[in-house]
Amino acid sequence: MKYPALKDYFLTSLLLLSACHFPGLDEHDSNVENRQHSHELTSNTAHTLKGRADGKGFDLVFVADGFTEEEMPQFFQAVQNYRSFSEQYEPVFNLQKDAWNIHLIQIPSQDSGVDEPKSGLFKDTVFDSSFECEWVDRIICVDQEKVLDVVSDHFPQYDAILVLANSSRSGGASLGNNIITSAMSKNLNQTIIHELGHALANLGDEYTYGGLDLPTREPSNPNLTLNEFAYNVKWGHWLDLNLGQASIGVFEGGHYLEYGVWRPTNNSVMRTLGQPFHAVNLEAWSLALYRHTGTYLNSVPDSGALQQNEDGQTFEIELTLGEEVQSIEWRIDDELVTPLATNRLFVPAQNQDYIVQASISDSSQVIRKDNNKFSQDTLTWWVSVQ
Amino acid sequence: MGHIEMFLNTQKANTAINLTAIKCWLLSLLLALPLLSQAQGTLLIKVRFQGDNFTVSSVKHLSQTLPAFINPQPSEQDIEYQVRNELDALLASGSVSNPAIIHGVLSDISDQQDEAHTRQTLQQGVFMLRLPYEKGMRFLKLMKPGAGSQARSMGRKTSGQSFDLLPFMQPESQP
Repeated sequence: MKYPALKDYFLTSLLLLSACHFPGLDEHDSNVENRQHSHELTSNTAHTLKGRADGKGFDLVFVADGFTEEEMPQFFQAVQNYRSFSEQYEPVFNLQKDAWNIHLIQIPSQDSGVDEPKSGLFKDTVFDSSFECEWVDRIICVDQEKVLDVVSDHFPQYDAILVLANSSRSGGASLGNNIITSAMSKNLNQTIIHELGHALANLGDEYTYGGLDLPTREPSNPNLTLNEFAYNVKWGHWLDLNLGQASIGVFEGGHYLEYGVWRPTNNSVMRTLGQPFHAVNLEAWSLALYRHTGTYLNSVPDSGALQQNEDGQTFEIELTLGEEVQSIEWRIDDELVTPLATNRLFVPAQNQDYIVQASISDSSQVIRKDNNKFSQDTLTWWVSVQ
Repeated sequence: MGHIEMFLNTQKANTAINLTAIKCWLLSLLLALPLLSQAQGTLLIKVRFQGDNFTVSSVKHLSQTLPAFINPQPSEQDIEYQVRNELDALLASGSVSNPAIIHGVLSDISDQQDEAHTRQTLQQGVFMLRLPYEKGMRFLKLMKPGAGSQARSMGRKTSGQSFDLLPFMQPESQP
């Protein structure tokens, strides 16, 4: 269809359509209006605190609930605190911080606080946060549909959503849809790290209370196993690490069960809040980040076939996490060469065709095994001289 | 006689309303067609569930191409999905973690973990699918937890609920 015809097609369709009445759509619109209630969405209620907007990286959206306009700085401060806390939680986290995109939704609530039905406390808040969800005191539920609607309108690239409920009472939940809720309790930051261990890295709970049934098959979690034998345990590539409390071994207890499930360390963040990750969990976390970020953002020129420039050719790669945690091996016709800079190679004008390869890998020492090659990539350029 | 005339007039009016509605929906489909021929962008599909029952609530076509959600915790409890074209060719598939299952956060006190952190099950709710758009995406099939893996292990074709996405398709510009 040529452009004028396409334009006519659209105009005609639009004119005819404008005369139509769509009960379903009108109903939807009014629902949205009702749901927004008195909580107006303005341009400054949704913004990106750090990072990108193209879906590369892990997109974490913090959502305020139960904060009045006057209290909103407390929410903002809590997010800032988490940001600083998380970047220092493990030494490598500071080097991986470019993998994280942090966004905020700050719609003031009519009331301050969170519903506590058993005490007869009910608050008018934007996302209807409530303790005692499913009759469990500590669980905070929210109106997930409202949360998804607002977040996907502003940050459809989200990977996880953290609803911070304005209460000092301890509680929260990991809901479906990668929505995590948490009260503003003293362990907020540790709680978020633990929950992201589940949501980002598929880490299982390593503590031993509450479980009844042994899993019928090997857990998919990288830190839990039904296999008690060190010689072929799934984290066997870390067993030589012998560093006191951080020593990797095969410790019985995990997945809420005292017996029959094994974990890699005596204690970790997946067993007790505030504990370190230790090697196995850290490797899973780092690989999961690469799964979201990829290893590089772009290359100049694009990899593939190209014609040599008269003055020679520069090849450049923008790494996702940077040179402190990633390395590149450059090769020309299979021969290892030393580049000008880690991410840039200059090849003077050649007399014959040649091939340049750049192999990207993680150099942080926290990844020993990467079966899916999330942390590795090879770019190839076929350069023709003619 | 008067009653018969009134009845006929009502019938005519109903027929006219139905025809108008059909025309309008046809026009909306015509409008959606060019969108469906674009091989870029992202589909955001919102699905409601009640027990094992699904209904598609809305479909948005974003102009920005975003990756599909990554399901980091694949399990038998996942909801599996498939998206096919008119010729029944599979264009996308994957799974989302079961939105009905929720967990409480860990207790602040390390030696007082309790059953709250183990799972609870919701009877109803919503979930989102995010898919890079591919030309011809039209039919969504959702399989309740366990149904997909069970059918595959028995060598059977997977069964589930199917939805035509076309009537839901609406353009949405990137915020």
